[in-house]
Amino acid sequence: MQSDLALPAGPRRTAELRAILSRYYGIALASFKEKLVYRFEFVAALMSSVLTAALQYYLWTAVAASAVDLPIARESLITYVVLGQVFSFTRVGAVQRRILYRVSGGIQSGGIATDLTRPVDYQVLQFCEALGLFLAELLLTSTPAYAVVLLLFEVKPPASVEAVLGFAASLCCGFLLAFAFNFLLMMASFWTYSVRGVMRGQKAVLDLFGGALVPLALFPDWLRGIALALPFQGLAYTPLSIYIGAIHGTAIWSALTVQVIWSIALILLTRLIWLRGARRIIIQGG
Amino acid sequence: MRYYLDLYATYIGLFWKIMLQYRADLAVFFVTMLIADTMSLAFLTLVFGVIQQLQGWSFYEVVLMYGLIRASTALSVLLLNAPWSIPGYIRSGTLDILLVRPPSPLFQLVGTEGIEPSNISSLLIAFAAIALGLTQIGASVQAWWLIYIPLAICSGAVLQFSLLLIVACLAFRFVSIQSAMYPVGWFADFARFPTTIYSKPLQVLLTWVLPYATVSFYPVAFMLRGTDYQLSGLLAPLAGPLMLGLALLIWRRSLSRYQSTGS
Repeated sequence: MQSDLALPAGPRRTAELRAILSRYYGIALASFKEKLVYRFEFVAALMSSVLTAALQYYLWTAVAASAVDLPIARESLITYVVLGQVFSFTRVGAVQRRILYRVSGGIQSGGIATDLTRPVDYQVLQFCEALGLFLAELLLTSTPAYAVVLLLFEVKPPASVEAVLGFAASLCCGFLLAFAFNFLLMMASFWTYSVRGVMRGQKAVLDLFGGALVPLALFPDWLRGIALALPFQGLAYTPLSIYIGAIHGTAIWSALTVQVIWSIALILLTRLIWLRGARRIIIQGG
Repeated sequence: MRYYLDLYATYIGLFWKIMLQYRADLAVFFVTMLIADTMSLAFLTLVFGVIQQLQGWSFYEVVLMYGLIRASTALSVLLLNAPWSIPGYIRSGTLDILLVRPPSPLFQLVGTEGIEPSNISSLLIAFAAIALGLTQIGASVQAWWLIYIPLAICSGAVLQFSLLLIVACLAFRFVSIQSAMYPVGWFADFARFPTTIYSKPLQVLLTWVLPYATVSFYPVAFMLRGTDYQLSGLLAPLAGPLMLGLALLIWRRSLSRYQSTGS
């Protein structure tokens, strides 16, 4: 192609403009296509939510029918366990999973080197990406799933206005916690190809001890004590309990505080490990 | 036949050599899956902490169901994991290379891509669950169970393989089908519990369309509530082979159409 500099001023301007526009168009198109590909993931996540919600619904309905006496009212119990599948911080988002697989073993391939040379702090970068994904998932997966379970699986609306507000706040705090755990997972994925196994194991532990599968109120006392001492409760138990009104009034504030404290502590921990680890990566030569 | 047996032995030998190099990854998988499956059993225990029986089914009966379905899926992942690789082979055109070689392409896939050791600990835990269920149920173990149970497990593994293969064949038409293969596996989770807890449509789905109930519920019901479930119990192990027949049909059809279009 003939150099545009050879053209007189007017047409050169146009040519430059066209070049800029086509570049931005290219970027926009690439980004849009990326979102389209991810859209498949969101639909899959929606299906997964509804299916696991169905399983919990039928299981706990049968449990309520077979039980002599329950610590939680039947309606609240079913709402809790079903919503535990709709708003699940224990699940690694589909998009996140893709990134993890890509990064997995990334130290050997050296792919991480490019990310580290960027001027933005890597962890901040990850946080922004995670926030975007969280909001997208909230909109594209959780909201439709919520609508479905409201209709099909006997889920009750929030217990009160303060429950709504508390639930929303708790979800935000839960996100911070989830970010910390996912970042730890991300770091694990740098060092092992078996990140799928680590994910599975992590999810299983978080699901159980976070109170996503079984409300902590149904735990035997000794186990409940352990679970309440751990940070995982902020991923499911806290927001869900606020929603059904099991945590109400001033107790909401203390629950949220616990969530926030754990989030800060864990994020600081990841920061520490990351700064240590990043230095090692650079030393290894990427 | 002899040819295929020797070939499969060669595949296993090759696989073993590769696995020796990835000992660390295997160890990680062994531990993490152990944790995951322990959590599943812990979940069951917690559920039965609130109830004595689940719609008439005792804790150990449900543990037995869990053991059967988990053993089947773990076995399927261990030896019959090939369908997951099929979309990739089609997309990258590598399938054509398989078609040129003498053995059947499906056999090659099963031999080279089908062995996946990540679920070994799950298989062991599932066996432990079965043993636990059998010994604690209270009824005496009958001799024919020792044949019937492995039969149900193998049939279940074949069933999982067949269902995944059927969906994988869609990859000949639609490029990114891999996400659609996951839902098939999700339904296996439903078979952890007695099918009677689900709605009628779901029960029909789990018995006739994605017949995972034939792996866990009907065999256990047949073994422990004999007379009521005699027919379903005897027919249950047939689900796997029948689905395999269907899957192979679809596979051959898809393959011949793929070849004739000269891709």
